[in-house]
Amino acid sequence: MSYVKRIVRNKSFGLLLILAGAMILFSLLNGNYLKLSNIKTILINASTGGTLMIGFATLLISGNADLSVAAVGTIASITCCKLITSGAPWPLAVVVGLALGGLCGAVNAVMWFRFRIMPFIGTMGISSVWTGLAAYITKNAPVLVENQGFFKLGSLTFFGFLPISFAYVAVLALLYGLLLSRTKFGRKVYMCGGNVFAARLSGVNVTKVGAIMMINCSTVSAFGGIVLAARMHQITSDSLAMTLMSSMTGAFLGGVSFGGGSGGMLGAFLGLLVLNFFNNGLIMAGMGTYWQIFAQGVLLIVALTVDHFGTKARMNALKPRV
Amino acid sequence: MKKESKFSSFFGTKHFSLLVVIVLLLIVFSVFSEGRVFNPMNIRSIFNGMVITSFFTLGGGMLILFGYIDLSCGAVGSLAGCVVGWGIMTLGMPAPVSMLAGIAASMLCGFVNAVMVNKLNFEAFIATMAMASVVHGVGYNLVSAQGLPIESDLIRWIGNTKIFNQLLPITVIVAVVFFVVCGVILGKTRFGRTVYLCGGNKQAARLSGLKPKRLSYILFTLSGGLAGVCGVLAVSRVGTSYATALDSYQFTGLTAAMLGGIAFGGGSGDMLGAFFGMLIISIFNNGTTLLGLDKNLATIFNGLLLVMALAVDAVSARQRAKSWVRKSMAEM
Repeated sequence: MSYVKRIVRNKSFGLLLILAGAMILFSLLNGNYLKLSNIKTILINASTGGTLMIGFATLLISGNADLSVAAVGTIASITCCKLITSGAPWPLAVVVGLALGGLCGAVNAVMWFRFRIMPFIGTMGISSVWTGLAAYITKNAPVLVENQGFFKLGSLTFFGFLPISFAYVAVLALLYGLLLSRTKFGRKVYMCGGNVFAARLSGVNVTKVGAIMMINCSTVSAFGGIVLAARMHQITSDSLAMTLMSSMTGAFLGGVSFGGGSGGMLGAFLGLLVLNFFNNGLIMAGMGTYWQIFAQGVLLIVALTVDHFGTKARMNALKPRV
Repeated sequence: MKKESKFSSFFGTKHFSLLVVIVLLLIVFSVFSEGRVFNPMNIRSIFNGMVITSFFTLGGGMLILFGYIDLSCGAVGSLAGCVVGWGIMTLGMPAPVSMLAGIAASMLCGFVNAVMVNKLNFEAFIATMAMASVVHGVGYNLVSAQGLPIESDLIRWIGNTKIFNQLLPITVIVAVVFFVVCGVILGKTRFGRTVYLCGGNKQAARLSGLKPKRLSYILFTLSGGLAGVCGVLAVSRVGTSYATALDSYQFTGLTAAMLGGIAFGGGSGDMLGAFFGMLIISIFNNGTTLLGLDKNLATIFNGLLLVMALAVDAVSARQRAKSWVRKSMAEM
């Protein structure tokens, strides 16, 4: 296959086309759509869901799932903010928050690898524990933080349109992309996701890889929650309620398949951009916020449908021709 | 000998351990609340707390037995409530018609879930989560985020009438009827057997002449329809349609089902166990209110219960498998 053809056939190219199409369409509908200030808004809105998505997508690629990302982000962030308000230095509080996130991931890993509780139900149960705990600690009131150093973690802006919270997403996506596609460990992750038995038989420590990815996913989610708190100067127990859905949608749009073993960071990153440019476009076109929730579900269904037919076509191509 | 084994087998069952938990909870709460738990009004509110949950336990539980999960039932139930409110207040339809429309809408959602799972090979829980998002969007558009108060005598009657000296609300009666009918269908009929069989092994069920696909359409639609009935009941109790009214109950309903021993992939669990599971959750929720504790404790408790129930299930399934292997090795 020639080089050009390979680029065109790539899934990420399709996503780029969709992204460009959405940009053109919505900027025709509303002239302010592509202004720098609006792009900044879009990127800010994308950042928390995006951070969660990176953890979620890497975990999905390894063949596991975690529906507690939003809850873990909430509890870690609330712990961090509580520590700061009670006088701890902010770097320490952030580290404690991240460690707590890692611990939550370890709990998930124990539930799956030790007790064989299916990840997506087990993590759903545990996420109810974390959100309940978060609401209990905060008594349903926002935790307000007052610490200039901590705020810097989430409020800087580069070049007038790139908020630091989204810069984290981009950097993380790059790092994890390289980890997944260029290192030995990354290959193992794909092997575990593709066929866990084959991976085990060829000498990969499946449990270790899975547990690392679960702990990693929760730590990244905790980071997302903490950055959100640093940006908003406060956190409530339901600040991250909507982010689980958007992180999932972004990952699936970007071609990370549910079964694991396929998709990558570039696709997921583009999926995130498509989702958020689309959502914001709907508002700019005057559709109202309610349609956003609707559109998110529809986009997820469309993404999965495309994925289904793509897989089917690949399977057909693999069949021996008679 | 036989009698004894039956006797001892009851003590080993899940039902027995659930009953023990119920009794313990009742003792603890009655001590701390000075006996107010057994006040007739309080017993009414314990059962009142189970009305909404029971529908999700039924529909969701059957799907879990079959091997699928429906994470859209809370949203779909809320949608039914929204359709009722929208029909009566915005379109000016008579109340019975809009109630039927609400239930029909939720059955349609369930059917679409089944199409996504069967025709497009989606994972059930992702498909239903996407459906939940779509349905929330529709619901918000119908009644807005503030909710839509409903003015209708019929709706108010359903929600507020209580017979037998104010002790038995109509909504509880409806829930009990649905629960008993569905429980009997699941436990005693051929249809119910089929659900268990397909859950255990779809391929084997198909090869022995059953039709798992057709059954999954029925079960998804049923789950949607039950959610719809529950949405109508909920809206008639509150008097206002909200787009996310029932979301938290969905989780409680599924927890109750799994607590009652309904396990993924079928085989085990029945609606009596699920009923005990609901009772445990409702007694705990009621107790926290009675003692003036933070409501969030109930959320934490629900989550812990679910995880524990799943752990017990997973461990006992593994032990069963092990002892089965040992037995068949011994026979060889």
